[in-house]
Amino acid sequence: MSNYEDFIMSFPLPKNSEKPQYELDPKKKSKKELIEEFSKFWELAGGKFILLKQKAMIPHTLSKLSIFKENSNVYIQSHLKFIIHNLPKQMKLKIYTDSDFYYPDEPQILQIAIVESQLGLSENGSIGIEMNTISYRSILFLTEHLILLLNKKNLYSQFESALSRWKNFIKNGGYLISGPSKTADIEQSLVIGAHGPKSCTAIIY
Amino acid sequence: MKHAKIASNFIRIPERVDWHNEALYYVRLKRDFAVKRNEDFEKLREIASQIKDYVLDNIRIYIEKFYKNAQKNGFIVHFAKNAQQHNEIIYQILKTKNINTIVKSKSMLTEECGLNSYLEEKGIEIIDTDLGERIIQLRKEPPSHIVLPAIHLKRKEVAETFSKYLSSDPDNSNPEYLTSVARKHLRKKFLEAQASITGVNFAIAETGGFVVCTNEGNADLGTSLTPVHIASMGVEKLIPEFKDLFIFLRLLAPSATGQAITSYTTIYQKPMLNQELHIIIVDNHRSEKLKSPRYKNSLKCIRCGACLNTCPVYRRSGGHSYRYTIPGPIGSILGPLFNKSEYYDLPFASTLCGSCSNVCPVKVNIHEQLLYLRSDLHKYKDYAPQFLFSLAYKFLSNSIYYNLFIKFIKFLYKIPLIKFFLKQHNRKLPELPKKTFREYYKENFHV
Repeated sequence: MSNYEDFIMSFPLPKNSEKPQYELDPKKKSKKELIEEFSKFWELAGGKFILLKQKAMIPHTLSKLSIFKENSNVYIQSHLKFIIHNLPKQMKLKIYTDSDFYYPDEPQILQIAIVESQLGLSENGSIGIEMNTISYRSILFLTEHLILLLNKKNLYSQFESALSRWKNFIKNGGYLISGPSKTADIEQSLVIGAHGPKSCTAIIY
Repeated sequence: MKHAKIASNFIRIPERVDWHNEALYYVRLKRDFAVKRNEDFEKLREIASQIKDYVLDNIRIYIEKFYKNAQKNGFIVHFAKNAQQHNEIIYQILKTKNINTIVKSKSMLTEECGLNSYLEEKGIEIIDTDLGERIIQLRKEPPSHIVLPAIHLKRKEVAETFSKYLSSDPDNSNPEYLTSVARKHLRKKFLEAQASITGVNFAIAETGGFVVCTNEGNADLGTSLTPVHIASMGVEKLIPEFKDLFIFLRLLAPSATGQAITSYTTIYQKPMLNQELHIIIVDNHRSEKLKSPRYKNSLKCIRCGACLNTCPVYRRSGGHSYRYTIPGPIGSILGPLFNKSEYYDLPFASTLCGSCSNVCPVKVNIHEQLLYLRSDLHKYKDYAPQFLFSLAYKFLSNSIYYNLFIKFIKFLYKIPLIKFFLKQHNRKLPELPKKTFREYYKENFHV
């Protein structure tokens, strides 16, 4: 095992050259164009996409999704109370929130997880989730179906235009998710649901 | 020529070669489609190339910066001069914590260091969780591609493997069924694991964080469940600033699979609650490569596999014929630089067509380096009989000898035994033109 000093000595002395400077042309797009571009890439990645006019429509929309079955175990982030209280009672869903799990393996019982995201990128159809916003990171990967909510004001055209949003990612880490878990390792045949969620739905409101 | 010899086994089944060739060319086409979608792609390649050059020129500064910031983040940072040290560090971490079950996501560095066999000898169960990696691990084979490790296998072979080791239906070779079998098997392993090992796609000096990209989510599943996460990285994974990550993310997935971005791009900035996160920074001959003006460029590689998918030799000879951890054009540079005596023949497994350099997202001059290596290595081993070159020189530099040689070749064409021999080796002689160029020129231009 090497200590830092021994290790570093093997490498050539730095040239102390200037770091290359670069700038990419900003891509200005209307909200409509952003949503269209995002949905195109998201669906290409195997994700499902729903656009809602209002946040209040989320509980009703969720209840209509085919993945919601009677007695499903559903995780909803604690602060999304308006969803918890407005899902139809007749579905007899078992609702779990952040305080219901004590160990990272416990979310393995979940069929559905509903998580609020912090940013979306239309240039590649990805959704960003800051790590500190979720009690157990494993929820995102153990659940059978993942539903990500995104406020359209947090949808950006490209990485650079979301600069202020990255501060928390730099501080706490985060995920960029684009569609469900997938693999093409057997004869290049695309199969959805390799390890993580078998479906991933983006709801933009 | 070891490569040619091993490749001859691979091409024995022409259908397999055709399928391998076409499957990889399809990935190459997906890459082309993704590239055309992004009007800035060439600009991004140039920026990425310059950033990598800059980091490699100032690597000491960035190792130090990353080291300090990673420690501030609460990561435990280790340094390994070579593969042995890398493996020992991991073993020590596991031993201290009494860990004997690990899940590992794809990491070419751990392949390079021979980690699996090292830990298995110590009695530790190490499970590769990437589907392709798990298939070849069960079959006790090395990966044949850096992004698609089991691309050399047909679905029926996977079905046989799963039937043997995972008790699945041997007659069902549907990829969806096979993936569901692997999912069930690996989910159990994830939940049992006491530690997870990942590679690193990019390490950001400015923030001390690092990024892991997967499509399956296997790295995330492992690291979000286990109390110990160990990330192994070569020094070449360093990038200076967080904003530089955007440049590389725009290049990696499109070049690898034609996707706009991988399904999961995870930025690790601090360990989870009650988790230890270790980072091992590895040299393993990289410092020597950095001192070589001709070859240090090869360390810019971001392991996208685009050069493999486009290479006509790789597509038709299969990854195992390269023997080195990283096959294909970039492996034909890295292999001999790592071990000359073992991989001296690899730079010759190329047509030097330059397609690899054209698709490389960080502009590694792959075909030029292969040519340099040919000249640097030709004295090292008798890679081709020297007398053949002397003979060729004699015939090509003297018109009388040359004409005699042409006549001799025409004579050889008439011997049926030669045609028969070549047919046995799946070779076919090209049709000879009726006239030589010289004869044609004389007739048509009245010289």
